[in-house]
Amino acid sequence: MAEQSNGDLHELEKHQGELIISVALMLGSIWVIYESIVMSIVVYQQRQPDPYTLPGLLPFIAAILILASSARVLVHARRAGATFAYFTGARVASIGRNGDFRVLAIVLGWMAVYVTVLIRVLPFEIATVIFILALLRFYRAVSFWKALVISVLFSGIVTYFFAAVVRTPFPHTFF
Amino acid sequence: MVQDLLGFGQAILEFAAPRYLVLMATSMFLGIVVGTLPGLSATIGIALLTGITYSFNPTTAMIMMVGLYIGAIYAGSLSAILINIPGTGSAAATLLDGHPLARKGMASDAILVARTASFLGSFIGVLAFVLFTPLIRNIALSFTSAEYFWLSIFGIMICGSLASQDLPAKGWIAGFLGMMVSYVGMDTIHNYERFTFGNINLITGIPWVPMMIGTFGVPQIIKLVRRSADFEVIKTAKVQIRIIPVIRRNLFGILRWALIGIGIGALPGVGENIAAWVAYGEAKSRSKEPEKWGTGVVEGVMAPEVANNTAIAGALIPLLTLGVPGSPPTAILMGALRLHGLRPGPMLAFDNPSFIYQMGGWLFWGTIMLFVVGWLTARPMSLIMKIPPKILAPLIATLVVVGTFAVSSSLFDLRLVIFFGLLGFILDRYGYSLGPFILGVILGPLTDANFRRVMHMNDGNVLALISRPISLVFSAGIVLVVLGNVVPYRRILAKVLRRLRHQ
Repeated sequence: MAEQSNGDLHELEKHQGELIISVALMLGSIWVIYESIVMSIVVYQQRQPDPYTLPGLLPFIAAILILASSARVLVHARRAGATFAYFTGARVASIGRNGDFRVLAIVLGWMAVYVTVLIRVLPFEIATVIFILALLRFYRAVSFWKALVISVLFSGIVTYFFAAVVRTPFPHTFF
Repeated sequence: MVQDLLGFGQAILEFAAPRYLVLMATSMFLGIVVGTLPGLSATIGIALLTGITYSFNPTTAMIMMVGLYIGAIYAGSLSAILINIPGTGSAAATLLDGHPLARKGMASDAILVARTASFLGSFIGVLAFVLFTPLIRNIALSFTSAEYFWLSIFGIMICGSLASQDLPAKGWIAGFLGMMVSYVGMDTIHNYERFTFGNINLITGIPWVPMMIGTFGVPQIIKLVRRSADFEVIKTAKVQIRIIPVIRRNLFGILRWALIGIGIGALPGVGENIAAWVAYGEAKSRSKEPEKWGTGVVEGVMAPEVANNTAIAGALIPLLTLGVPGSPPTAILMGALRLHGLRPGPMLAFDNPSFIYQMGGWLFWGTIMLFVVGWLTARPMSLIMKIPPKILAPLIATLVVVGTFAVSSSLFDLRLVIFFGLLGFILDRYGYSLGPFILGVILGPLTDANFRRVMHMNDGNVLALISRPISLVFSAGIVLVVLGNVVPYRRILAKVLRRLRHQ
């Protein structure tokens, strides 16, 4: 897959994505339909309420609508040339090399580390400096010293505002 | 009516106090910065501000959000004109003639036209808000459960159709997915846990703030990192045109574009972006020289800017009267209002009778500040545009995390940000609009509660859903939206006409 951003996504790649998403949504809808029926049966057996008030009613309807709309998108993607044969091992592996997905994985992965580890073990100011500095350097946005100045300044402002002014209870902070 | 006008007048006087004006000017400046920076939008700006202003009093928080909203929608035009990249989606149509004008050495003229058009659009929007909000509020009070159910479904369907880039079914999927998300948590009738997977944090449902911040924020961060900073900022020069004759020449046009803005803004979830495109198309179709459009026509800047700024007030009308947001930024605003204990919808008139008047007052002063702050910041904003997007991305990521944490102090909510960030990225990348998704989340509980209520009260009689005229109109609208997008009626019509001609 070529390195493309959202705006100039290859048509075929887009339709391949639509195909996969449609299948995933259809499978998800079938699961929701099953769960909705199960939950309605459970509630009905326990309390014998008016059947029109059962909790699975609206999720059931929404899942049917998603299923039907996904089928429409699947047909559209197939007509546009999308095929399951497209997904060879090499192509699936190439998703990891796609620019947007790589950026997404790095940003979300690093955010997860920031949220689950850094904020918990370090004072918030230092965790934030490390978070910003690492991202700035990873994408070579600016030189190390500029990145350090930006991250220290921004971390200071954000921490002061949220910890001292808004009184957000961060796990650890100097303020 | 007189009482309502007096209420609005009183609110305008109340918020003329210097501290409110300074607050409005500051938030307007923030909005202009957010709108100018490509990759940031009014929606993400309001989402971040929701976290930042969580502990503020509701008046301060709302003034800041309204100011940021108006400022961001106007400022999207600045980067569209100067660097050929729309700062917000609503300025995409402005770019078509705004940037060619700048290339001709008329960048300052294009900005002046955009600013004046935004001011006029906002001003007409305020008038429409003052006139129509009490009227629609009174109509909304007569809505029953059936009407609310159909209105919610109609909103999701129409928003899905209009906001979708290629296939309307994708917009509908996004809306229905949003509905599914809203069904997570304890069922309000039988106290049954739906789709919680035994997680105690999900019993009260998925919290709005992390969901909205994640859905809108993460895709923007990815776009900022991936965006090239390799663009030229066109320098502004002395203004050559005289704005008053331009306004006089386009007086009826301005009224038409404003009506488009109000009408489209009031449609659930559709908002400023579509309003701007429709106004541009309308203005071009009426032009005596349509071939010149795209080469730097003043009306090509004016039409979308009038419409997208009028759409702000248009989108606020259904939010405050029906509890149905008219645009993605107002959907976030709805979440913010709820955080501050306000319930947008017909009951707002009883819970907080003065709120609608206050909103009118904020919109009025926001419009005035738009002209003042917009004029003062026109030149400095060209410097802001030079900030490399890659520097902004980690800063926005930090605000996404901290803003979410400020609202709930919950690490689980931060995990939700990451989950919804991933979902938002996939939806956005493959053309499943985020607008209908958020609308689905907001309207989902309305569909659930009202549908079951109608069916329960009428012993499962489905006809009760369409027994009242307004219900019938909404349901007929849904049928038309579906048929219009599913049945190839144009092809069928052409075939029939061809056959008739042959005969």
